[in-house]
Amino acid sequence: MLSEKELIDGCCKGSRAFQKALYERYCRKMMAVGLRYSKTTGEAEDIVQEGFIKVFQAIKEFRQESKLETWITRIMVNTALNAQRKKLYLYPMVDVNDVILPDQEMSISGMHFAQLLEMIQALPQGCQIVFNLFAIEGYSHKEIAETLGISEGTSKSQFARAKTLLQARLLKESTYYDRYGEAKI
Amino acid sequence: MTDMEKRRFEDSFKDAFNEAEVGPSDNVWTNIELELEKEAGDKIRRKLFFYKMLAAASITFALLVTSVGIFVNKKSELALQEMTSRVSEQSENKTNSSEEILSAPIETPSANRQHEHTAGTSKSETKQALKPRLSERNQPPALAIEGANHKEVPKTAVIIDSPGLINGSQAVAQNSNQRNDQINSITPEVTADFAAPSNSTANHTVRSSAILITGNSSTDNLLNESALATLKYKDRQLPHLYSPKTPSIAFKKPEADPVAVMMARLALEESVLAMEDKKDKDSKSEKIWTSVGFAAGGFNSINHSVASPPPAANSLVYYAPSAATSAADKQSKASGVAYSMGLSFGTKLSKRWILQSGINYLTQSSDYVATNVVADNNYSTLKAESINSLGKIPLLADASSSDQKLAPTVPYSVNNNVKFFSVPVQAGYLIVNRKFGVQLNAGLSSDFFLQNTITPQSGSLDKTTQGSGDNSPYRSLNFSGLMGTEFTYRLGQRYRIALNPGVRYPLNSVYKSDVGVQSTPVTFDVGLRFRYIFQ
Repeated sequence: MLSEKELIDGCCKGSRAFQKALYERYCRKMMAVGLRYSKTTGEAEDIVQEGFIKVFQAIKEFRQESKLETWITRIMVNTALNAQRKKLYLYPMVDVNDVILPDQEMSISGMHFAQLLEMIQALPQGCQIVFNLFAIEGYSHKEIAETLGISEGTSKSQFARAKTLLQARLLKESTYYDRYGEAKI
Repeated sequence: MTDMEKRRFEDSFKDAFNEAEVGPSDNVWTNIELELEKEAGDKIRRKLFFYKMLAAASITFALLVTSVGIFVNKKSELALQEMTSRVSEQSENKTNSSEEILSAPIETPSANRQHEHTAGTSKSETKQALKPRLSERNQPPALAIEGANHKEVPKTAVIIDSPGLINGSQAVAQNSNQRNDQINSITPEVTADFAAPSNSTANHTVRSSAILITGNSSTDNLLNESALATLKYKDRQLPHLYSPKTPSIAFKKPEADPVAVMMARLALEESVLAMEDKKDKDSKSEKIWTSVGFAAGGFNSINHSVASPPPAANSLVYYAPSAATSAADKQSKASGVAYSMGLSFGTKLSKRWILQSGINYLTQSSDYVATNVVADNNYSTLKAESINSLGKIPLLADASSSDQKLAPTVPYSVNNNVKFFSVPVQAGYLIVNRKFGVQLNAGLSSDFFLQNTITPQSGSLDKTTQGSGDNSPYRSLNFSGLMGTEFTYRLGQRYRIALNPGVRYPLNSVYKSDVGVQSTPVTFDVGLRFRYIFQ
């Protein structure tokens, strides 16, 4: 198995074999990233495709200060955000004031990520992006606000709404399982 | 709800997606690869565009340099001719006027007086004043020297041209001495200066004599000595007896001393010859050379055509004019990249002309899109359609009697690679032949077809090759015209590095006439050669 450095060096030389090896190593994880930021598999594949092209174009500039996977993920997230910006322009995010967070946190333990993915994809556009950035990528609301060109308050309210919707969905799923006794996936 | 509890929800999502993996479809990598290929193609195209522009610019530059060189050369020749004619004209005019003017001293005393009187006036006035009388009198030139006016120094050229007169100048001096015995005690130079009759014309004789004396000495010092003589004449306080009666006469330096002009020309020619000798010596050391080189560029098929329907080949009936000609058309007009490498030899035929030849390996690669595949009856082998199969393979529907058939498929990309072995012969003209050299090359190349390789980009199709021969659609021998420039830089005594942009223009189609396809790919390339000079 090729080391990370060997992969990077091979890609820097433009070797198609090394590029393919790098793609095959990270494409599955990046597809999961793409799916989190999109509504359909096609959209996610577009993000992955565009993201990997950027990776191969910019790999000479990769300074190896972080893990390669982290760097590629960041490129994928940025590519996804660029792809979603047009949609955000069409459906701008606004402050959601009437958010009532449930008192009890719902647990997602034992749930398959495919179910969680489906829940995230079902979120409204703005909520989906803000939730991804805050909950999974670990961005602060300030960073999200700067990245998306919105106010910090908007980011917070969008996240709160996303969380509410997710918890409501989790509650529904939980009730379904309890009622029909189906084992959790 | 505590912050810890709040964060637990987010973290649980983060953990759930931390190791999440979903396999994308195969199309994603295919599309990435296509994009990367396209990008690489764009880079090559940009490079090719640069090379084409470089080739065009360098050819333009070379032509411009040649034009300017020819113009400047002609202009200088014209200027030299004009100067020569003007000098000879001046000499003739002044000879005539000198003869006329200088005939005055032998006139009667009254005539002398007349001359002295006019000496204070302008030269033209003098001439005008003297002309009527001069025309009446036809004095011999030797006698005319006696009357040499200081302003009429150019007449010495006439004197020099006439050896008899050179001696005659001494004779003049002697004559003067005969007439002026009292001056014998003066030194020879002074004698020359002052061996004059007791009138102004005698002084003029002295001036002529001085120049003639120096004229008999080394030509290298003629000019200086002439000037010295003039200086001496000007600076010396003449005895009262010989001083001009009109002290206001200013003895100006001659405007165009023919001797000076002649000497300047001689010096110039000598320096030019010396330079040429040096260049010849240098260039002789660069008589024969050999070089290895590599060239890269692009080609465009400027004249391409496909006969519709193309003539049938062999015994098979051609069934697919539109489908097959479509691929043939795309293949024949496709532009692409060209590379060549080779060994060449050169020799200098003359100072400026050179002859170069050698051997080259050429490869031209282009891509086209095909929409059919060539399949056997069992579909066990699938090949890309190309001109190689043109006219030999029927369409799928009519292929019952054939071993192969043409089946439509989704569009796919095909690489067409043609290889030649080339023997170029070029004549070159050295525009600049120094450490930095510029030369124009033109010639003919015999290109022997080696092989054509058709490589489908789709992995399921087989690669095919086509050699030369009777069954090949390619001509075995092709001829191309070559034109280009070569910028060279000499590195030490034995090496030169050369950059040579050029154009290769095929004089015939690369395909045989019975194939029904014509294609003449014009190649622009820039080569880098490393030359070794035999000494």
